Amino acid sequence: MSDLPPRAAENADPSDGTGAAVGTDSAGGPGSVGASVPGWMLGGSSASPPGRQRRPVLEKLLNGVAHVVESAMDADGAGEHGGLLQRLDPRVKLVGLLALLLASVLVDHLAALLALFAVALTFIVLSRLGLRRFALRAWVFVPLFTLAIVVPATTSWVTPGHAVLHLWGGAAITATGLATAARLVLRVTDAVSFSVLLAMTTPWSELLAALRVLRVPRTFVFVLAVSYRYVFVLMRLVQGMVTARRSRTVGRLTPREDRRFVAAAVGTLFGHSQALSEQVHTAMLARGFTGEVRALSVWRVRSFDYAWAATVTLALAAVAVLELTVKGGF
Amino acid sequence: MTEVFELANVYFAYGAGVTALAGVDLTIHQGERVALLGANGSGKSTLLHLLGGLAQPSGGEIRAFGAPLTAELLRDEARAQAFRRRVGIVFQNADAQLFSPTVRDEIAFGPLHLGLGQGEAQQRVDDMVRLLGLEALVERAPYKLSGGEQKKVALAAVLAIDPDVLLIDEPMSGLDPRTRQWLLEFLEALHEAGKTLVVATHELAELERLADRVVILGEDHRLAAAGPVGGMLSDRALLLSVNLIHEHTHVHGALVHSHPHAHPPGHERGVEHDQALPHAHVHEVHGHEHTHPHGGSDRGTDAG
Repeated sequence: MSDLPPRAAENADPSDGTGAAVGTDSAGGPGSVGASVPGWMLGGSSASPPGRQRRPVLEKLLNGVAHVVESAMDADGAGEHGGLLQRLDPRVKLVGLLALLLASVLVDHLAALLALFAVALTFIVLSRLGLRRFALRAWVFVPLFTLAIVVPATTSWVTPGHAVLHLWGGAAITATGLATAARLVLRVTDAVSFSVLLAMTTPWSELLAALRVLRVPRTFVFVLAVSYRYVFVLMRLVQGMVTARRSRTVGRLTPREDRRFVAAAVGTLFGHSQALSEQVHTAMLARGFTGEVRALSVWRVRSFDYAWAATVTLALAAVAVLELTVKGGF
Repeated sequence: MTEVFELANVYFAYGAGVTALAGVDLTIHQGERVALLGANGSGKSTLLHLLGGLAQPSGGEIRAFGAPLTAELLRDEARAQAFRRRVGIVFQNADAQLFSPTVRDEIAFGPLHLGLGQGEAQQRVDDMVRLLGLEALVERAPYKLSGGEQKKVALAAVLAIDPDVLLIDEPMSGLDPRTRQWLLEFLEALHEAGKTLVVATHELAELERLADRVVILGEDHRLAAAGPVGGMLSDRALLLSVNLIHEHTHVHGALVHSHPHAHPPGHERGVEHDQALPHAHVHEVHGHEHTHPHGGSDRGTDAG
């Protein structure tokens, strides 16, 4: 209550319930406060300090989603490192990395998959992304999860073959099973690596614009860009609602009260998003939007981009040769 | 002097009869600087939208550049585009104004959608970036910029169209003192360059630098007064009646007095006074001189 005139606050007796006059308007004109602060607002709070509160699941979930969305899609700083991939025309980079990703899915020979992994590693190093940072982002969850799934496929129960390690009950881990598992894990690792390379070295706006080279309709790209932009705004709004509610919550709420809040929040969010969409449309109309989307073309393919494209083509050719010619082993 | 806008008995109501404007008559001339002044909810932003052809009046007539500004005209793409090239609007809500993925795209949006080719649009972007000093922000996402930077980008995005008339909703809202100063100087430069400026505001502090003429909307959504800034600001009774200033009471021991008081910019949004051009307010009460630190622009003498 630091806004209260000190004299009024000091003179008031909280117990008499009458309160103190604040901002009395002698003229009684428009804009006057002309009201008394109720007695219960004066003096210290009688509430005992709250005990340790657990952060509600809903809030944790929303904050987590907001963080994931921001960190996963926000590559604004991707160009700062000045590495190999960051310097490329995004259209050339998109096509090149998609070709490598497609190769990861199509080739079957372990040597070819290893060669593709070597290509990905080279790009990671030359793009100065940091192996540790990249590994945390690309190689921890998906490949390890895949590994957990393919473990049964290494045993003679699923894949019969030459036993490498004998287990109980006559079962064994087979060489064919190991080869199958290795191929699957490597294939996933290669595919994830090329996808994350694209995401980590290309700002979202450039990635969207580069989609045009794949003949993705301009309107679709524009809608995607605008949706992405407003996901942040609405996410912040939801976080604000949850935080404001928590700041006014004492003790634990019942699941019924929680559900009631979520329903109210959904309604509020819908109202806000509708109002915002109308404002955005109005702002677009004011600058000449008639339904047809136009965008600036700012990129030029340079010799550096051609050189990189040629290198990727050579790498793909080498992978194809490995796939078709290497015999035996896996 | 050529008329840019002529409004005759204009009414506007939202939804089921929520009146926003009632019987407004107004003429705005080419090269003028006009401030639409009024308390919150008086209809300033609605009037700005009507002038920008973004809403249609429920009654009355609006003429722009000598021709009726009707829904029919705005449905005709060629005529609508011609109007949009001449009238630019800067909205108060940056979240609504800045919708593109990068600052470059934001500035290019207007020129490209109003028919300029790639080369010319790129030139406009480069010129705006240079004019407003946005070189470091070109590849950034507009919604991640500070309030002052967003205001510059919003202005750049509208000025890239090169409109004759600039409509700005609450230009000073949410800006720090340095950016306010920059914006005032920039708007003065635009005025000197021949642009017609119409700003909607409820702030009195920088009004004399923002406009030459003031149009005041009352809380009844009618035109309360119009005239030169100086004359309007010295009319305390008028400002009190439209709720732009209020009587402020001070207590000095046994002495109680009141005086008209205008809140400093940002006051109602909880901005600290020391952020809003603080100055000492000196007044005399029953032969004693008292000094109060104030962030506002108190005018007139004590009433008590």
